[in-house]
Amino acid sequence: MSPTVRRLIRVPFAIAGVWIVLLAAVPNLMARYPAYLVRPGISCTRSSTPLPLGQAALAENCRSVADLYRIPFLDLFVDAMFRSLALLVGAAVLALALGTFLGILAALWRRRAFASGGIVGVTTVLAAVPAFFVAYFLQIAVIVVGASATGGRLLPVYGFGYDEHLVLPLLSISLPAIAYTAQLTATRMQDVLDADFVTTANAKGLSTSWIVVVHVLPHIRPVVFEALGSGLRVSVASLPIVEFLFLWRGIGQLALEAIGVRDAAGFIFSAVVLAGLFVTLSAVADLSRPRALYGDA
Amino acid sequence: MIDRMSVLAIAPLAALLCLVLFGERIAPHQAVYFVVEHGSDPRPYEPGVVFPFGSDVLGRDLFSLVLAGAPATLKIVLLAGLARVLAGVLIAALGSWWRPTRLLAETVAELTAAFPATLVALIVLKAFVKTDTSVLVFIGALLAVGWAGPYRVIRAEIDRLAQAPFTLGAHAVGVGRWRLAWRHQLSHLAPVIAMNLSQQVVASLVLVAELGVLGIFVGPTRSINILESQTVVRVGPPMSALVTDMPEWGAMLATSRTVEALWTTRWVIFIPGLAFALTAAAVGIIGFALARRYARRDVLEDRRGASALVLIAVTVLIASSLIPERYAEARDWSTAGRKELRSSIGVAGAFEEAGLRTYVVAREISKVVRTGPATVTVENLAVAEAYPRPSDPEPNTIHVQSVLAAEAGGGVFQGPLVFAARGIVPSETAGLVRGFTQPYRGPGSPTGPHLAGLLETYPDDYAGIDVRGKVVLLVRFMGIDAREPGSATANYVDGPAVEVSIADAIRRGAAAVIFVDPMLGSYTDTERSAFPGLRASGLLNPYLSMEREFPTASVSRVPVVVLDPLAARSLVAPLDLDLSPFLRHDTRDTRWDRSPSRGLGLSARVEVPVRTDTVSVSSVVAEVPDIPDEVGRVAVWAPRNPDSVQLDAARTDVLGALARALAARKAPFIFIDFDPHSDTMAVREALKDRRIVLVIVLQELHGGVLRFESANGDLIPAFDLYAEKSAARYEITRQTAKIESFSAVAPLPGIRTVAIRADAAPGDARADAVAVIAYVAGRLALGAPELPR
Repeated sequence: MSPTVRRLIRVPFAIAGVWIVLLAAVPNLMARYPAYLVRPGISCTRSSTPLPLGQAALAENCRSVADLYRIPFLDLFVDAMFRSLALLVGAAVLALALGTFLGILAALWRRRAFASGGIVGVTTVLAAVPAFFVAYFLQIAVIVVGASATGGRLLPVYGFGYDEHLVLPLLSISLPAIAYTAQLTATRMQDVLDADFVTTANAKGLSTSWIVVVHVLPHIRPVVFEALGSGLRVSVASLPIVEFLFLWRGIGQLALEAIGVRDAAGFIFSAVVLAGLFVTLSAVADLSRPRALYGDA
Repeated sequence: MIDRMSVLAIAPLAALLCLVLFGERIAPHQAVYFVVEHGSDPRPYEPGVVFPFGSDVLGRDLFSLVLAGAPATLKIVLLAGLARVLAGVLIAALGSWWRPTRLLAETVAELTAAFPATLVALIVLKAFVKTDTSVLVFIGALLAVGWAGPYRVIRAEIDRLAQAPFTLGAHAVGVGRWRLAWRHQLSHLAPVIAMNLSQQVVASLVLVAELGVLGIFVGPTRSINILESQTVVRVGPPMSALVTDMPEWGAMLATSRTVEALWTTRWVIFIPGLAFALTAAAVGIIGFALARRYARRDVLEDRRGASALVLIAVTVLIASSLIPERYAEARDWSTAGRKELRSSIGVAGAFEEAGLRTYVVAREISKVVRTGPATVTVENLAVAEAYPRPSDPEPNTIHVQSVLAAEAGGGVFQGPLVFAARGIVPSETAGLVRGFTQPYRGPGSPTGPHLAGLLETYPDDYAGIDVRGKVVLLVRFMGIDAREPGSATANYVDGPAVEVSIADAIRRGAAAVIFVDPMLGSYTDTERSAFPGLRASGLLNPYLSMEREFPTASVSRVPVVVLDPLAARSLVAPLDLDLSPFLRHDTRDTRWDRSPSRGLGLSARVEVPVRTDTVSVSSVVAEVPDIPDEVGRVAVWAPRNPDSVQLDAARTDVLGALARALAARKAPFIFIDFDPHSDTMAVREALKDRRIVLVIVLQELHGGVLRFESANGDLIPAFDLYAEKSAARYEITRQTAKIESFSAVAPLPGIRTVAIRADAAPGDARADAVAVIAYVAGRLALGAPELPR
């Protein structure tokens, strides 16, 4: 069996393993702490008498995330999955387009120290800056810079919608993926541009655009997928916190709220979806690397 | 050729090292400095109003807090990153050398890497941390969710090296496994490890930040309320907030995380967030530079890089010696105070020996005292109190006790005797309170049934009788054993406190009260301890406590005499009145069809002979001489035990040591040995020309661990810091004292007050109390801004 097939077979096994571990551990772990509200302001009013907002006792009234939103769990779950997938697909598209473009640009400008160094420096910093800070920064920037005299705003700073609401969370979540893709693309492309066959192509008088499109890009395609896999893993990891900050009720936010109200089933479903994304993206990244990285494990 | 990237990385590396090593020392202010008011500016102050980077909600400098929080935050993430990489290296090496472990390691790593780290760390910390998250637990959680990444990368590199031609060659010439790893492979692993370390530090930093945003952070918290420290209370700014004991960036995010804050107080989130982002970027740059530098070099032979690192370390260490600890000299004051501790015979003598200016604030007060035994006579039968009362009597030797407290007073009254049973009024039981705020349940059953619920079917004991102008015979209601049917374990729901029952009878018009208490013989006069050094909660005589806390002021109040069952039975024997059913707890099944209360058709005489004495009480005030009038002074206020005419030995020694230590250094301190029978106004009057800015109430020192209490929230972190700096054993102060309850402790209203006591854990807290107060004096002398002037 080839290593590629072996690597792909590990994906469903890993997801099943995560599921089993969560089933065994999560109910016991949740029994050890009292329920709490992840976000003040939402409440479970099971009784007809409304209680003061933010009271700790309210969390005790919630048995599940479905109680929090008064929506059947399946509907809530499917809706949350679509919301999170919208962010991740958007991040993947941005990373592929913008990241690859920046990487190619940095490689082509490798003789211009400031331009190339600038792109590398900026992407290095962006790859390291936490998504939560990017989210806060963008929110504050929109509030401060985008505020109009009439009290309007450039963009909504929180809330859900498949419209302009997407912009800020998408930017927050996709910056690491863009940065990783740009860095790896630039590094790999610099190697390819220094290869003999590119020198020969230049010597024969082929245009730069032709060389890049026909001779170079096919060589950097694996590295782009590796970078995309690694970058999107970071995006998935920051999904809960970004959704929490933008009040974007996706899978990450659902998992956080399930921890708060001690909804074991809600948490396990959400965590398994996130784990599935992790495992799949890891496989994508691994399959794009030299075989030594996944070897004969 | 010098690698420019490496040079570029040295700056953030040096900056991070400085932050870890110096932190608070280079901050403009310490974390204990609060600006609770600044004209009409609302808190948190905007950047530039009071501090360049703004303040938090309680008025502390955000920039200083970030600097003060840097060591803790960076140490946590560095240790967590190191632990992750070390675990990765060890497990990868083990899996490489001993194949059976490899499959297990691979499987566990695959699963660990698949879990979303933030969610797993959150649920683990929620489940295993009950109160405060310790640094080790936090690092453990960061390690548990993050070791798989380094493991997989390092394992892949080890596999690659195992197949490398030089490894095969080394094997062929018989090089041993350890030598091969150390001499040939480690140099190739070093770049991967270095790069991975920086990645893991960044990952840990991000996780700490995300957990902070979700409200999980390291260390204990305090609930600080600064309302009492304000001179003007404005509507709007919050008066209280949670403050962590250890400044930490995650905690700063945790305490400022609301959507509304983005509009109103965005700098409170932005500044710590920026600290996280800059640090992450700095570590990222260092990692990038390391990877570039070592990608084509043998790290063990790269002496130039090692020299640069050593140079940085030496520079930072030299700088460390040049930047001293803030207010380091105050520690000398503390040490000097400890050295002065020795036994003092009396407070006045110690003050004079230290050269303080001493004067006595004397006052005449009236006091109601007994002049003979209290007696109760019913027909021809009489019982009398032992007079004078023996001190700390043996159990079951006290049968009669008069009460001179609150509404209960002395005098003689003879009138018709009426039996009020246990004085139960179900309709009023719901209002019975203990601690004046909570419905009374009884000490053994904090979550058990309410007394009111259990008494719903009981008849009203006062309904069929008129007690006005009569002698009321009342039995203490012991309560109800509310155990479930079939249960062998008692579940006592106690009746109301004795003072409540007696006061209820007096409120209804009783002219004298004979109160039968089945527990009278078992009370102790003082709190005894079964274990030396520990306080016991024993059955302290509640009537003596009442007399201490609420002494009667008049000789002509309602005479009240308490009898034990033996004395009570001897009195009522001829009356066909069986008291036995009333002297024990009822059960859930007990049913009273009608109240047993009734007029007894006899007259009774209750006599409590008393007189009013005028006594002179005196407090001793001493101050360090030659201090200009305009200088603000700190008052150390030691209230005597109400039963004693002089201050206890422990506090006498503390005041003596402080007097000697602070007089020598001319610290603006005033010491007051206060007689609680006097009143604080007399002392205030004596000190009216002195400007007192801080009062330290020195309470009794029964244990070995100091505790602080204050209604001025801004002083709480400060005193905890002083105790830490003066190496005292202390308990972290968790919350600000309520103003209403603390006013009984604070002698001078309107002046910031801290109470110090020691009542936990065995030991001797005298030296620690001296050290803390001397440290306060030291900081005051050195100009610490958090202390009022």
